[in-house]
Amino acid sequence: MTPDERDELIEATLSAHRERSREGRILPSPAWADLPPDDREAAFDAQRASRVLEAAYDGGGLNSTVRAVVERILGLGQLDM
Amino acid sequence: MSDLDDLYRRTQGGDTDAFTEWVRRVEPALRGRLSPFARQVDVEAVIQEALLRMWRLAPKLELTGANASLRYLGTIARNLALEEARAMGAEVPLENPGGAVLEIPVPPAPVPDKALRAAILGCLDALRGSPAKALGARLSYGERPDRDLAADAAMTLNTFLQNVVRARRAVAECLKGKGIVVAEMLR
Repeated sequence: MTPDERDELIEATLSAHRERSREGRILPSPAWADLPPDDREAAFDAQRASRVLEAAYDGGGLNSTVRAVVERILGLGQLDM
Repeated sequence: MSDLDDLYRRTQGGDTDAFTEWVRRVEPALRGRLSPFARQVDVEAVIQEALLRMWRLAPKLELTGANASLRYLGTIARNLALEEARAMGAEVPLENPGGAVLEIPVPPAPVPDKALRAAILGCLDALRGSPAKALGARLSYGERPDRDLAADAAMTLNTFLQNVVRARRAVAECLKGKGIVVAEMLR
């Protein structure tokens, strides 16, 4: 893997978009699965930094993870009492 | 009752605004506590799944004690991370191997970081062309699939990612010039 390819894979993991399984469970990013363990740690650190930037950039302080979760609950009910 | 408890109590009644605020408050602290799992699981996926379960389960949970929702979130997140790690065939690393909950520090009351926002906006303004467009899309709509953001920006997916990488480097350098190193803020 070239350094550029590595950087692009890490960048792809910074997206908060995750596919879901048929059962509705959130799946790991395919880009994350392609990274070797050391680069997964680098991706984790980059995700944390990116969420700080996103929250600061957003007028309401919401980062992309928060927006992804909120978007999903709007179409998702709660369990009945 | 803490303000977090109050937000989660309202969540239990189906209040989406309260849940949004609760998630905004707890997500950074949860992410930080999941760092030991970073080599074994996609932490982003674990966080989102744990938070969604906190929404789904809310009406059924009987929580007692201060910051009980945070403790329950820690239990769910830890169990999910362990399940994922085992499913990936990874050796389970981890702290609290005996099954203790993952303790999430109570997040401080949020204070809008206007200085950071102004610095980021200034650095983004200094960017030009495709890198600016690509990073702007990611910061604003990072919950959407990259392929959609790339299509909206009339770029291939690879070109889009290359532009975001380039723009991030430029913004990090620009912020550093203003005395801001985000990685140091997270320590």
